[in-house]
Amino acid sequence: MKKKVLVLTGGGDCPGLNAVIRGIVKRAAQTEDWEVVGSIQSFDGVLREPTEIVELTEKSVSGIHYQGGTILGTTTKGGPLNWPVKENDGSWSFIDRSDEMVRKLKHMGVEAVISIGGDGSQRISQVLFEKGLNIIGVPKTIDNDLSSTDYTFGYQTAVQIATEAVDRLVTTAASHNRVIILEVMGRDAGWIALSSAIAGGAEICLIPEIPYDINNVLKVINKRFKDGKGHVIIVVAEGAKPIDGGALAEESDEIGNANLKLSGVANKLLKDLKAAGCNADMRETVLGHLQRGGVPIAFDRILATQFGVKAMELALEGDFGKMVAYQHPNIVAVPFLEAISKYNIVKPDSSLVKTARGVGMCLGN
Amino acid sequence: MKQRILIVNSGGDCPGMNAVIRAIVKRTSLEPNWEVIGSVNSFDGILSEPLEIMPLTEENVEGIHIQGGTILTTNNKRNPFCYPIMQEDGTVINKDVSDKIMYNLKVFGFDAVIHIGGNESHKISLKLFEKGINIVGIPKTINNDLSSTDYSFGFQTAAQVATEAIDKLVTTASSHNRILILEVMGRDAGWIALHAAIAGGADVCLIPEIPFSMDKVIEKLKSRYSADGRGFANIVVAEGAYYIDENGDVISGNIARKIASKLKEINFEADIRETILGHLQRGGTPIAFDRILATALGVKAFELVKEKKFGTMAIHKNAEMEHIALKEVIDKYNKVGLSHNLIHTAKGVGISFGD
Repeated sequence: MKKKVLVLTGGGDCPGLNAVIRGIVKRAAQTEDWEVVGSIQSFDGVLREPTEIVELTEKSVSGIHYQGGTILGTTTKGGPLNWPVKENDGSWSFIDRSDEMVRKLKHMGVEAVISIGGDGSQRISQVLFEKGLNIIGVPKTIDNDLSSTDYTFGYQTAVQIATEAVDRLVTTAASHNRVIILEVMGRDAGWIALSSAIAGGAEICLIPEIPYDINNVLKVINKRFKDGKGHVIIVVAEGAKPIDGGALAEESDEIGNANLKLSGVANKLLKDLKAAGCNADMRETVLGHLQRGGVPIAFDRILATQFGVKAMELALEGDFGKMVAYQHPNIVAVPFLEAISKYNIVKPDSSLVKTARGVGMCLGN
Repeated sequence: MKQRILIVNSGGDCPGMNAVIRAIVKRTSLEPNWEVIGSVNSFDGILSEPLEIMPLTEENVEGIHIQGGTILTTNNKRNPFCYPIMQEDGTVINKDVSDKIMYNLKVFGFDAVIHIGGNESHKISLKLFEKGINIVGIPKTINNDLSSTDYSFGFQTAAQVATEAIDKLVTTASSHNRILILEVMGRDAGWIALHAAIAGGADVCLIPEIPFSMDKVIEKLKSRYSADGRGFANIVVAEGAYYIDENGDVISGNIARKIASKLKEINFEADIRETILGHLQRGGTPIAFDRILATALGVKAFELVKEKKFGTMAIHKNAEMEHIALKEVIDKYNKVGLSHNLIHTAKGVGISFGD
């Protein structure tokens, strides 16, 4: 009988997930004695009765590397450590099903698990690893906020999409002498905002790492209009905050999703600018899930394929409890605990910030 | 009087050159006493009489970071140490005109030169520096073949363009059960081919660093077809790839066509077509990655000038902008190492290098 590796994708989707799955399957296909199966919707496929497990063959992954999303489906809700259960009174409670799941995977003959997910997923993986599960992690986030890897796949695609949005907004802003505010993703990190602002040539970029002063933003807008350059592009990260306040966040309405929902910062900025006396014509665009959808760019497909091959090789070597990571130009394996110990946020003295300031961009402070 | 910087770009064009120019100008405009001027068509501008130079202001660089090419135009045959001069009878004689550059820079009040170019260009930069010119280099190559910088702008755009070509070729190859061969740029380095082959999911990738055997390529292609002739295969071949035939001759140049005719010669039972991507890899809008890198290099180059760190090149190292002495970068090529992880990854997903 062949040895079984189980693959699953958890957390928000991200361009490149399918390229990782294909990388794993194609690498396994070169061995004599390994086969790959996938769990539908993260660990749910294993925990459900009957289980939802699909066979992954070279044929079933053919060509999926250029499709966005994940053929296995994903979920941001719950997980084996806090599985949502509906009580008789309609309320929800959460139970820990991890021991049951580890037993179940053993019973199913799974020799190794490869979990593709964000920092939340890697945390779950560490707990499962401590419970004796042979598990390997693959980092996934469009936000680029993991410190142990130079880049995560999906991030460059998100930057590219946000940049193309800036390109388009510039021509319409210039034609109408407008201020246009573009809200992009990134959670508590400003990577997507700052990168797309530099690539697209925005005048103002507001990121969570550098709280902004609305008066400085207004000053730059007024100066641009006075100089006869009648348009301004502002890229604002969803987690950006003013010097005298916090980020706009609300609890998610999804059961078991611990992440706060960040949104509305562009709208708030627009209103605040108006209140502060800005009389320019202003518009907002919230890019939303366009940043997660569609074909991954070449950079992300390559990185994702490298991660997939490396993760499968860790399974072959029996090297568990680790997450694959990119440390230019190598692909390495980092213990989970180390991988999730630190966030990667934009440092105010980094080259990227210096570059933004160097081309005269206002960062709101 | 303001201090003056002359921008010269040399060599083949490359998506991101305009983003570099814009960044230098925007960074300079934050300083009260500096100005930037561009030399048209590589060193021609500073050598012509009258000079062909272009004042570069924030207004005339606005929005150019989105455009491919270079607003200054470029040329890869303008080495000032071996500069072509047309004679009255129409013949061309190459002369060393570097003294004239020195003279013109002095007379027209230039304090520094920022030279954007590839490996050959920076050999010139070093010689000009050794003559006493205050020069700072910026690496430029779509081929990713400079070892001193982790990335050069233009490369990721070229890899993206080549990948999108494979995406298209895969659907037509599979519809017709064909073998499609895509020839990409890269000179003596296989980076573009290797990246595109992994990202696009090609079956065979042929690069200069791994001389291939036609027998091995044929073996891989056969494995892609069933007994009744169904199947398809995509080959990505770098322009510098080669093989040695049964007579011991090196087969190189126009390599896609030569592979196609060899396959036809042995009556390979599939239809074979080739595509030569050519200058599509150099044209058009740079992707975000390259615009950011180009902008960072432009800002860094100005700062090197301001700090009087001449005879250096701005580079990207470990996610930060750094600089390196020009004499350290000459002839240090970055080829695909056989132990590079991308080779490992490619083999891991079953791509054949024909070895």
